[in-house]
Amino acid sequence: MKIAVCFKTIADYDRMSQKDWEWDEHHFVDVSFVRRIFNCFEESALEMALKLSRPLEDLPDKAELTALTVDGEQGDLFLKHLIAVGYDHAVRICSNKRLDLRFSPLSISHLISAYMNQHEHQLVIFGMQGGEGGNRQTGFLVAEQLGWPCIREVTEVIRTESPDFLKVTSRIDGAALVQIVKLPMVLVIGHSQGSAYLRIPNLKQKLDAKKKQVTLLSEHALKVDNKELLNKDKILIDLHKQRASQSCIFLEGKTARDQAQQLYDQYLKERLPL
Amino acid sequence: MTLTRRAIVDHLIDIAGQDRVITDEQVLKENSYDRYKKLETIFGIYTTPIPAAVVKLADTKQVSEVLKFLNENKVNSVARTGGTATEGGLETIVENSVVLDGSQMNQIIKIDSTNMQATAQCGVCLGDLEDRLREQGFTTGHSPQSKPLANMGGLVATRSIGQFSTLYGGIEDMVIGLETVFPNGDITRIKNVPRRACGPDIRHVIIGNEGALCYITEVTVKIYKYFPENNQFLAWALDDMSLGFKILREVMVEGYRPSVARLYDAEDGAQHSFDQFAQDKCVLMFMAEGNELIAGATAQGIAAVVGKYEECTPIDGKIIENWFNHLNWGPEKIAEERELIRKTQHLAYTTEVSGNWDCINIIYEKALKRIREDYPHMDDLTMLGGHSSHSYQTGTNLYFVYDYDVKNCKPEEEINKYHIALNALIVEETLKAGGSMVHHHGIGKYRTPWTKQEHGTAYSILKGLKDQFDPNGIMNTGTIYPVE
Amino acid sequence: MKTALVLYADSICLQQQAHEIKLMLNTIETKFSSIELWLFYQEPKPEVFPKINSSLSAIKLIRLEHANSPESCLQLLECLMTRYPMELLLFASDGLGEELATRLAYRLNGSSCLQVEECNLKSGKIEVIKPVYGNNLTARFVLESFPCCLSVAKQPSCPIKMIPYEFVKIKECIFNQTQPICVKETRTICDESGTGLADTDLVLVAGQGANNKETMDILQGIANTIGAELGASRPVVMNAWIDMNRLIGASGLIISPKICIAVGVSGTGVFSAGIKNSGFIVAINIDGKAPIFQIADVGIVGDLKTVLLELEKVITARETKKGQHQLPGSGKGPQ
Repeated sequence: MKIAVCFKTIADYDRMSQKDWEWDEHHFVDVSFVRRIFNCFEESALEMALKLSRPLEDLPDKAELTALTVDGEQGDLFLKHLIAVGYDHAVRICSNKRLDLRFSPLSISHLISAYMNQHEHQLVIFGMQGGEGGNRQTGFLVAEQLGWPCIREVTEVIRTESPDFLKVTSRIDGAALVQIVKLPMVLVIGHSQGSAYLRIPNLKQKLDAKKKQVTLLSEHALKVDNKELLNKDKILIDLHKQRASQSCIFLEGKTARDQAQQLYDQYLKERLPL
Repeated sequence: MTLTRRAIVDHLIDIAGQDRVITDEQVLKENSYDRYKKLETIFGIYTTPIPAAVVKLADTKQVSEVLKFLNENKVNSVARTGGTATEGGLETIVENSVVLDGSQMNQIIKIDSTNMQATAQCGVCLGDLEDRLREQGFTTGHSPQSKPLANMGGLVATRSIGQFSTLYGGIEDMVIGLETVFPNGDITRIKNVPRRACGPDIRHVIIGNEGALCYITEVTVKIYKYFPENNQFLAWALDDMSLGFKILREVMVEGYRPSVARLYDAEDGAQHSFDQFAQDKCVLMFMAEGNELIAGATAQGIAAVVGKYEECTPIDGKIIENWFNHLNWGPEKIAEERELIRKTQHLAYTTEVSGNWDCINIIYEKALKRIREDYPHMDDLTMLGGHSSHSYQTGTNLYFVYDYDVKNCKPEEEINKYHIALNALIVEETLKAGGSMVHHHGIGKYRTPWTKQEHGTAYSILKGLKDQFDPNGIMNTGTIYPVE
Repeated sequence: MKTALVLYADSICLQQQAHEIKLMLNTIETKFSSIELWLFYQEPKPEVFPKINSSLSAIKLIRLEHANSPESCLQLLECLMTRYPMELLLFASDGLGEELATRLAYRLNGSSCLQVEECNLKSGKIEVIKPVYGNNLTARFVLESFPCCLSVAKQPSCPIKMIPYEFVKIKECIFNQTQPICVKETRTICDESGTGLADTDLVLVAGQGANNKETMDILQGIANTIGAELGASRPVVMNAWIDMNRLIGASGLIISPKICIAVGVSGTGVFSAGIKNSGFIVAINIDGKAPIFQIADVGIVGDLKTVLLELEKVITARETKKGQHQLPGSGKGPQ
């Protein structure tokens, strides 16, 4: 089985303060000074694929894993890291610097689908949300383009006795949906408690990964017409910051008791339900 | 005659009152260890003896009464405030120990802007003191990573140091006066004067005693004017640590005193995401601080020193500033860490040492080489590297950082298989090269096998203090002084 | 502009989803030439419908033969669009709504956008506003092609009434449907219980600062005593310190209680989106600089467990006092 997991790193927004949220005339927010991280859903997706590829350490039919991103050079470090944790192939589709792909899931999906058409895979996995845009659409669009079934909000996926089927658990309306589904398929990962964190490579794995290469591909190599990448879906007009933060009144009691009493007397008493 | 556990508790209640003597089992368990032992405690295993009680001390007088009682009855005590110690100093290794918790003695007594001093009880959180000072435009200059949690008593007892030490010094440079209680119940006060030559500096009997000689109840520290608006971050990427040490030395010897001066190797840097802008490189960073002229001249001067080295590539200071502002341990980070450990059995520790300029790179290389060659479980390591973060005229410190997956090992065995073993290799190489086995974390309980080697012939001075002040051996047995 | 509202009658959140769509309709200043409700259902056929808009021109009922099959829904929508072409389609805020909006727009060469908070018609094109950059900013887009398929943003709970719609044309649409071939077996496991988080006046939300499951259990006890529902941020839920259905935030519940007490939570953009609509926000955190204080009305810098235990005592004391003032003969004497 060949599995591809698609991801796009984001800046660690928790390390940005209100004043950092500024943008230039092209509506680009400068996040170059903040470290980049995996988004939590994609991190789950990447770990889930690792578990799926080799549910038991010595299982002979290990699935072949590819990590794929559409990004600039900043993606290479993460791809190397993924090789270190066990990905067989790490591919970066070099995004054309002149194109703003932040809010273009359609363009991204064309690139990913083109790759899938050139390299046969049975399973493509996305996180529920990723990248600056948080568009939440790329997985669905790739499923459309490949003509594959798609299961969203996946929480767990495991192998079955049959190599052509997977057991997929996902969230629906107030319930968990468990399905045995035939490959090929697209999975979109939601909140997965079982795969919350990506595993950590040991020193030897990191060293070995240094010797391996990241595969770089352009849209030309994928035979994707530039015209297809032009945004025909939605065009960004402008960005807005949230309302300016209000001033919070800090309660200065000497003890927790004082603070609790003050909170209740001055603010909660009148508001609490009778 | 040894008192029973029950009798100890009853006596403590007589002295301090029921409310202040805690015997809840979970509380006792949590007060039996510190940050040296993470894994077993996360899994609810407590191999260290559980103390008889935790006493939440009200005031100095009560400290005196309790200590006197413990001393007369030869009951072991462990002084504790913020609980962020990293070397086992807070472990209650003697049966039926009593934890003396000073965290409720948490009053900021005075902020004196004329004499530039702040006086605080031992249970004042440094973060709180610092916030209060900053409101008035001052700072203590003391900023260890544990600042949001650590308390003044523990910070002085461990001879702690902060991130801005290269300018402000360590705690020993900041303390003016102290109030301390000795095991016999004597309350002593060292007055606040700028300097004196009235015999040896007795403050240094207390600073760094790790609860093995006395109980610190109050501290007065210097305060400084705070000019955060003038802070300037400078950073460079370079290929090797030995050049990095050379440049660090040159900056210090030229007389510059940046508040931050750090050198990270590529491995340690990677875990801070430095590889995102300096892949496979060492990172050298400085922060210039102070009034506008001083900060400006410091930054300019450092840039001139480093600029002479072609091997150094400048890094945008904004990246380092952003990273630095998110370095400290809040309680959320600690909670996150414990949860991750529980799930992944993956641990991260440090052993930090110091050495003169001429041996620091030798210590760096030899310790790492020793681990790589001699440590039998190298395959379980996921990170091994180091950084320097406190520099002086004569030398610098060195943090060794190591992460590992705990494999084929019960939680309570982890400490011997990994932490103690790795720690030992680093300490051995450091002492061999002429360095000191611990720069600022304190000896605690896990480097005591080397205390005598560390001090050599001067050990008798250290031992003399213990003989004099704690003849009954009730002050944090097993800390600093090896158990014979 | 011809508009269709697409909903699934058997969704447990139907009334809430209808409310969210209604809110979206209210943001559109333009007049609609017509608004239809397209309601998918499995037996029995619905007889009451969410009271979305007084000017609904028609309700179309489409029976779904296969449950949990987005592909079936899409085929049916394509048939509907062939017969009744629409310019704008509004879908529910849930995962199904997002999937249908995206995939239908693709099939029909239209445009789509998810988590849409506001919508407008300008110079003949649809403009939308949605959150970006981890809910730290919002962005305004113009959609280039019709039909425009929008999945609306989640909103605080305000379920809409269900009414019979006596004066609206209700039409049953019947289409052939193929069985999804790729699913060999399927089974649903319903969640054990719901939470009252959507409807309650008082919510206590805990973050990673709760430290462990034991503290969360204590907080549940406090919540029970003070009459609050307990929710949590993503790290707490992912640690399994509390049930997943109590997740508060952009990827969980959006709540709007009268009072929200947020404890031990730093307050990222993604989390804050979940509580910002609360009437009054109290934040308790040991770190005075935590971003949560930027959206809080009142803040306490301190240990959450200590403060909450004291608050519990204060509130309980009030309750006891109230009991003591009951009139004689009311059956409730002093406590």
